[in-house]
Amino acid sequence: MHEWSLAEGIYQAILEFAKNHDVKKVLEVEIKVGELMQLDLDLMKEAILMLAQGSVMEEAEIKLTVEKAAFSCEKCGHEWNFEVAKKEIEQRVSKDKLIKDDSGSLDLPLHYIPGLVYALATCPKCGSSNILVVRGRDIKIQKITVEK
Amino acid sequence: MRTSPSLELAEKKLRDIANIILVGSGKGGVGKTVISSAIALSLARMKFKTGILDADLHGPSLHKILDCRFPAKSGARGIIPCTVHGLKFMSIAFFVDEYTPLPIKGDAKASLVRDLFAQTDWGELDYLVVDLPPGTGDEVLSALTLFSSKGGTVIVSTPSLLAISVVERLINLLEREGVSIIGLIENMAYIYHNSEKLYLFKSSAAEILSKKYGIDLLGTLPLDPGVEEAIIKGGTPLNSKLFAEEFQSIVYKIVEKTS
Repeated sequence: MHEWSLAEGIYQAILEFAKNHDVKKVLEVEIKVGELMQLDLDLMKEAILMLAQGSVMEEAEIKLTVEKAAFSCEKCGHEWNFEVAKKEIEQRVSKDKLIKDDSGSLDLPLHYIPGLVYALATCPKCGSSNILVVRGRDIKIQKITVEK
Repeated sequence: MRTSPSLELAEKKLRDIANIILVGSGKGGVGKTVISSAIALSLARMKFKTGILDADLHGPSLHKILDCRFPAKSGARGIIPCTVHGLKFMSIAFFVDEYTPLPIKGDAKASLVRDLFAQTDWGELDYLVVDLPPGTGDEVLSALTLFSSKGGTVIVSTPSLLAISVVERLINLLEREGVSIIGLIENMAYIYHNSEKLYLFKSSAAEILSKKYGIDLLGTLPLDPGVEEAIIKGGTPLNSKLFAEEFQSIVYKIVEKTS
């Protein structure tokens, strides 16, 4: 249910923006979600819309898109994707480190704290920890379209 | 505008925390983590609702001192922190195995400190103690930016004159970032021999810095092997009588200066 707390964060950030810029109506919100976080986009959208009821963003179109994660190795130059990284991370994270939510589902800690990827992933080719998450790590509000 | 929902969540959590005490040092190995834990434990003993965050991302060790079992659960308000000795406690150490290296990079360090704080269900707190990593890197800057509105810093040093320039860098950074300084604690200043204090250094870096910058010297602490013995036996630094006695007046001063 982490999606609900993030939805609240998004809602509050947009409300504050609207207040500071005399916005009459929020028409569209574009949100980029890093693949690493493994968020349920339908649930997030539902949560944002529910929170937005009765506010300036009540009728806003919420566009959530997943940014595919990409990794590269600073030591050997190898590049790989989240599918490859996830397999390794799942092997590395012991069961007692998985976070159990209210519904009973178990999530990788990355779901909450994506920066942990640097502790959990290594280069699949040379094994180095000197890796870079090129993209797809965090969640960000990309664009807001408003009516003043 | 704030583009990260995590920042917004952090702001929301901050509203429920009355005071934040950042514990920093210019360099490592000065006993900062022991002192952070002792501040938090003392505040909890005084019935303040207290939390402690280990922001030392590369070398977390608070979990060794506080020795608690992380519940690995989340609720509507975030990840449930470990509860131990009346404290709520969160650390990066809970999410990785004990000997896993933590080579966290640049901007990920800044967001990690923020996420560790923002994603934790702290509830309402009178005090949150933040054990900063040594130095003045990304995670320290991130913590200063995040917590400065509610926080003051306790600086830990040893008496060694070699520590002066390093601590001065931290003092100057705090001034630049507009973070208030609660005071200085000088650690490992003396040992007890036949109930007498034997000072290990001719100098006192904390006294020199206190005079130069007008910062309160909150107290000096002994190099006390009893602290480690207490921790190994499953206790806390406050189980060492010598340390606890000296520490009491320091905590009273911190409470006085933050209330």
